[in-house]
Amino acid sequence: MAIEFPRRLLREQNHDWNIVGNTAGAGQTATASVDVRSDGGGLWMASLNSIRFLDATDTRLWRAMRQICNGGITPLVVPRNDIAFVPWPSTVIDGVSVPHMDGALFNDGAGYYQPIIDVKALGAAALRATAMNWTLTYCGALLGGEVFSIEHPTFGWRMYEVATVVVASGGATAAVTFNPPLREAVVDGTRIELDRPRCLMKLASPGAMDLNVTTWPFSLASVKFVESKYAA
Amino acid sequence: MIFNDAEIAVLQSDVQNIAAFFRLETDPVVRLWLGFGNIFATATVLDPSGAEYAGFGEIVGLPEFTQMVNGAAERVEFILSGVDGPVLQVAANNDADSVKGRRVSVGIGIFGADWQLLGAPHWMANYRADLLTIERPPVAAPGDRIVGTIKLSCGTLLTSRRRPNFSYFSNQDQQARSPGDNFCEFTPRYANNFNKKWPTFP
Repeated sequence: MAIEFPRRLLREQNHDWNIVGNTAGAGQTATASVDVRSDGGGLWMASLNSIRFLDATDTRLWRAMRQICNGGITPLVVPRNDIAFVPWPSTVIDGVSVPHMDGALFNDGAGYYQPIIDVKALGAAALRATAMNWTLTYCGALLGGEVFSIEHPTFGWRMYEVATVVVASGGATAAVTFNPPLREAVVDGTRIELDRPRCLMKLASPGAMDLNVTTWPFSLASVKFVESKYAA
Repeated sequence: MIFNDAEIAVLQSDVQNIAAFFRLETDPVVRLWLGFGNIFATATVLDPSGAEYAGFGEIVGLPEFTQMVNGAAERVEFILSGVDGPVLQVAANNDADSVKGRRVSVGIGIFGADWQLLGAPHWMANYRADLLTIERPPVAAPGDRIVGTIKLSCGTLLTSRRRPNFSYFSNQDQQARSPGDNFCEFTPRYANNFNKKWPTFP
């Protein structure tokens, strides 16, 4: 079970999540321009930039996280801050925290979290498929460009980005295409995580979490991740 | 090499999605491809029931190779750089001996626009694995990243044909020719260029 990057505490000012790959251009001639892609679909790369450290606990948390990362050996589940672009249902109540059975919350005022959007895979999908069918039980309008994650049995959380959506009449199911190709085969009924997309990542280099402490007014730090090749 | 219609259509188009496949016939067989994640390839001559290839995800330096037509036998080196833990383990785990003489195949797989394999990988070259070496060059500053590389030197079937075979009547060569045969066991006792005197009998 991989540890999650504490994005609720270490908030970045900007981030980028992109699929990187390599393309070889064969040159432009009068008759043709041929591009050769040889990356097999690419892999995720993310950088969370300018994370502000407001008090001492942030700095200590950062130090703790980089020791957990172990210079890129231990993979982390990194959540993607995508809350503005998630297909929330129109009646969603923001900030629902579920209390204990007796109505009490945790002593810091937080409750349990439960995902709101309910989407499942309709039918199985093969390894490296780039198209799936979804059962939309509770979900806003899908427009394309959504980000979703699937927790695979061996490869853990992996992230995908929707390219096209065709919603069936009635709106109960949808056919989506996405990239990168599925990292592992998906069985019928697998939950599609749209609320909080996340991906199993590791540090891009051993020095990717280096910290430079600013004495005043506050420290800013950045980190770079790449998708982990191996199973979680 | 026979391409199917879908593959030919892709090869004629402007954007081609091609990835290299690498197969090393050790036990178990090492199957790698130049891409991210695992991929299942359908039947080829080498794997009649298809097989899963592990994605390498990182830079794989494939050497230039030529088809041998009336040419000289060649020797190529496959260099995997950006190698990390598990791969180094494979290389260091006394496997240098177990790869020697094994079949190495390199081919390409042609993908459609949605990154699905349109057919089985096409094997383009076959070699015999020879020498496996690991390199970890020292870095200038302690913070620099060390890039370890694994080098697999391979030759074609005809690469070392001009090298003399086991051709001495020494015990080592005889063991290589037919293991367990003691015929040449005592040949070192025969000295060369030494005249033994015939004994004079009384």
